Amino acid sequence: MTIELERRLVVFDDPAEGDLLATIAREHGAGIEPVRVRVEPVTAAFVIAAATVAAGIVTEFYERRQGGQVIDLRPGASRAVYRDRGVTFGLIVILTQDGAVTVEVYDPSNAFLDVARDVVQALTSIAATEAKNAIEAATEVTGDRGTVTRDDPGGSLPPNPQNPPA
Amino acid sequence: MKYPGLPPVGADGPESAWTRAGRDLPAAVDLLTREFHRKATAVAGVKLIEALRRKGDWSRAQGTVARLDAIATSTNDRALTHFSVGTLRWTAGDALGAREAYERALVGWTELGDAVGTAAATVGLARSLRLTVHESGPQTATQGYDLAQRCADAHVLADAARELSAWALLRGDHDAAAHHAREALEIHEGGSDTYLVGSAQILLARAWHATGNRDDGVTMMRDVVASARDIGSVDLELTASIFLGQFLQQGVTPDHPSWNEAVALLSEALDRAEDPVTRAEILLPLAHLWTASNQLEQAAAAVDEYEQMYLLVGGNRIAMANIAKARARLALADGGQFQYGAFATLRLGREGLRARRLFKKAERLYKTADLQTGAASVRWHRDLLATLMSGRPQGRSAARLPWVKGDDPLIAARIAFVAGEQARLSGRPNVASDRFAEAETLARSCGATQLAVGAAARGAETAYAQRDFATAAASARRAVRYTDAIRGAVADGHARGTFARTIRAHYERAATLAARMGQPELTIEVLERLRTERLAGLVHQRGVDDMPADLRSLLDQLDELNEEIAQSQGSAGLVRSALARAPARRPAETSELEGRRETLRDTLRERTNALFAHVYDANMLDTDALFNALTTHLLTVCPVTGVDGDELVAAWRAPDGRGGTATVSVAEDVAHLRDVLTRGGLEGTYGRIQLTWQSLGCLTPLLPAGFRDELREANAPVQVLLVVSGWLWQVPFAAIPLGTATGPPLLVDRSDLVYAPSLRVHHLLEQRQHNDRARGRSAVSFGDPALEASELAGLDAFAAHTTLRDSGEVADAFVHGGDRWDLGVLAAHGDTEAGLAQGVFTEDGTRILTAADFLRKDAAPPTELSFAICHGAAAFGPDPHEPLGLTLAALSAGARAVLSTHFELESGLEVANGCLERLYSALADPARVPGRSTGLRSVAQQLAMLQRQPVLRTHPLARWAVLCVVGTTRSDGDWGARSS
Repeated sequence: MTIELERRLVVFDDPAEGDLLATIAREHGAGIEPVRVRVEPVTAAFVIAAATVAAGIVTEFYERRQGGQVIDLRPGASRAVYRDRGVTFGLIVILTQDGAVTVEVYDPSNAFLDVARDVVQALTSIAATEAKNAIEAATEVTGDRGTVTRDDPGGSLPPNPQNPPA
Repeated sequence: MKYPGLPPVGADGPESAWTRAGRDLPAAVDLLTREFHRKATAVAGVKLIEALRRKGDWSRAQGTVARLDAIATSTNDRALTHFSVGTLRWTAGDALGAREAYERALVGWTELGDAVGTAAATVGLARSLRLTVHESGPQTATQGYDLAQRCADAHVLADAARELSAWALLRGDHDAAAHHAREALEIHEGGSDTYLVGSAQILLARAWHATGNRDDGVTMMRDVVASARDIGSVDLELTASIFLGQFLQQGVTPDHPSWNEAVALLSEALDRAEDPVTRAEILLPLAHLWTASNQLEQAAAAVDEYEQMYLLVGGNRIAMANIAKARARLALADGGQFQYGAFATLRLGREGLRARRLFKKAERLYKTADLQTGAASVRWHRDLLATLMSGRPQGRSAARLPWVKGDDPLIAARIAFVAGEQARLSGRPNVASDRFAEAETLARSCGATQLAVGAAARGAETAYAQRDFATAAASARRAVRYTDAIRGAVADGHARGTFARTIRAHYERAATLAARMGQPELTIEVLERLRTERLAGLVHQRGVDDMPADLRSLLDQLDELNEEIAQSQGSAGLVRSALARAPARRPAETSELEGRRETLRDTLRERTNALFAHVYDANMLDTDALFNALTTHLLTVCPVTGVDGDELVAAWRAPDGRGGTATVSVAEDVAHLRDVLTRGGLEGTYGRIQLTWQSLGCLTPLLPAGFRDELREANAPVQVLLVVSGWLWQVPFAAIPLGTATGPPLLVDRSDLVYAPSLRVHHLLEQRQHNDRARGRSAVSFGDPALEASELAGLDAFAAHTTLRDSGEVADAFVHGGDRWDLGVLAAHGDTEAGLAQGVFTEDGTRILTAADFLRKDAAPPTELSFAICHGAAAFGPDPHEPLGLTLAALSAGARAVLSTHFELESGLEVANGCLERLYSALADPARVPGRSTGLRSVAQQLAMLQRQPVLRTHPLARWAVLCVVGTTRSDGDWGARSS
């Protein structure tokens, strides 16, 4: 049986995203074709794969390029839950009033969104603002899908909008 | 004029100076000048002034008047002097001055109880009132006539009769005008004053002409011009010439000799005319003539000056009505409308509304001035316009012109045309057909070609509605040929361009009709005529001597702005460039720059059009000759806009004359495809590079069924010439499937495709002499170092290959390198600038070649060129039927075949590069040297062979089908055979 391959165009915001797409495609046993046109600058590539796989690759690319999950529990935080391209996809960073907690998901391609959703729900339901509460809640819902660690207490956190550093 | 107290001209002896004023004005002036110097009397002065007035030496006449003041001492002399002054001022169009002088004369002669003088002065008064169409004029003229009858002076009576005749003409009472003109003529013919005979004849000719006796009117007016020249009277000659010009201009178009004669007569008269009224009366018919030839700016200026001239002399309602009517006609022409419509229904656009409003104003003014014929004439135009615009019979006036009694073919044609249109709209097609045929014949007989176009086109529509396709096709063919006859006769290049825009909608409709009727040759002919001829002219003339400095400056400015915008936009500039890494400007600054660029582009489009309009006029189309010379299949495709929306029209013609047609509505998939192909910016680029052959399945019905059958059944690929226009330049026809959505074969699987902008351009390219150099193949190339142009390796197969390293050398090599290289190859960036500005850039934003570079008289490019850039063949510009860009400019300069691209060339996976490399390598085959052997492959054949590789079907079109060949279908072998 011949598998019909599909060619899907993926447009990057940044040329470096080409590496991410190539990685994802490789993970799925697919390939990408670079795009170069002799007119305006373009930053895009074609994904070549079976139709269903190609769709999954593109979805994952757009998902993964959003970066990791940030949950800001600190009082007065302007945004509590958001994706940050500066945070590696597969990590969930929980900012508490006394430090940061990181959840590393073992199989981000398949489990990241689920774990992130569970962690968000758990933390918002207990209204925790301290690291130890966050660690407990996150560990419980993450289970064997990842590890939860507390960052170096002496490490710096992003500034709290209500209590800027002196 | 009868000068009271003086004998009539010609009555005081055959050798007298005064008698000579009636038959030899130069001699009369000479003798009367001496007489005045000798006698220095008021009578001698008045005689001299009259002779000078008749002769047309008005300034000298004015100088003589100044001397009379000191001489004329008696009451009679003063009255006579005033009368003379009045007549002179009337001639100069000075209404108030004339009236004042005549009133003084009247007072003087009334005081003296001089009945003849009183009558003459009263007639003079009526004459002065006529300049402003004063409401008391007719009564004064009648009073003058009564006084003349009572004083029993036949010559004053003749003057009064002429005055009554002139007033009757003004109010459209042509019977009375003719009667009084004849009355005056009989009296004048009894004497020997040729000037006055001519004056009466002018009135009679005008009356005849107005009532439909055109030929008699024209003949008599010609006689007057001749006799005026014979006696040396500039005054009479000017007057008769103006009216003759007015007669000749009615309804005629530039393809008729009368148009040229009228323009010549009136232009010469304008050079000689000094007074505002005379100038005005010349300007108005000139405006009509220029409107008919689409010289709209000249026409508008003439109407404006006409208005100023009349305002200068106090204005009058008839003149104002004339202005409104002339401007209504101009508005119609300006809106791209034919006065009588043609194929397309007149559109009630902004100009249509303006025309309707102006016609209404003109009618009101004519009525106020009591010029009923003028009002009825405008009413006729209004009803015709309403009928043509609404598609329903409108008004009753259009069916007849009540004052017309003769058999004037123009009037009869107009009446028949309107009757035909009303019958057509009322569901009586047989009557309509007869009336249109009658109107067409009559219009042709009197040079009213625009009316003939309307009648033939409406006749075609009527026959088409009855499914009488043979009649419809014949009528449609006549309509477009008449139209082209008008266009061809317009000497002014700019006007020809304007005219081309006017006829576009009509030709598009005609082409649609022809295609729907299954008439391939007619469809091709009409689509060919849609072209403005400038490209054919350009190819024919091979460039211009000097690019106008302002155009060159515009191109440079645009170049600089593009660079600035590239800088301002950082990474999103026009080209990938080092400039892109410069700090980005604020959005407001970029927006301002883009605004400036748009303005510049508009100016450039305008100027480019103007340049081509003035420089390039091809020979008129000879369709039969073109068809006879055609040895390949021809497929002409064209986007049109009609009453049913946007459509694509296609016509196929096999070498043996068989053919077929197709029309495809631009809706749903086709509309989406057009949107993708024409969308700007990165969004457009991303849309196009994803297109596959499946995307073109919606265009399969555009290939006529017979053509597809022919290709499917062919044993070997056939040669196909594709004549495309508009956005279809961006369609890779090679990848259109031959069977609806069932997959390959694609068009290129069964054909070798060559594109051309028109059949005429292709014909000219085929006829070009080949540069038959007896040495090995050589190539020159430039590859932008920033690009991965691996295809250039294919050029190593050439016996000689020059690689240019300096981008500054590109223009010279590609524009003038024909004596050194057979093939020129560029691998760089292309842009989407319109017309002459379209060009090639390197990654760092340096412009290395533009379309404008090719437009030089000394251009001699390599005979084969390859623009491996984006958008190389997709010419952009304001004229959808004949855009000009880089590729077409290169052809015009002497290239025979240009490998180019429909849109973005995508070279990321090296598929395109691979195709090109193999193509270049194949082109290096020494066997392709002209004259060496036969059966060799052209660039188009070589490209088609490569594009037939099945593996390419899995790739987007931007990697293979985007490549195309524009130019000739001939291979080198053919050229060699031909040259040997």
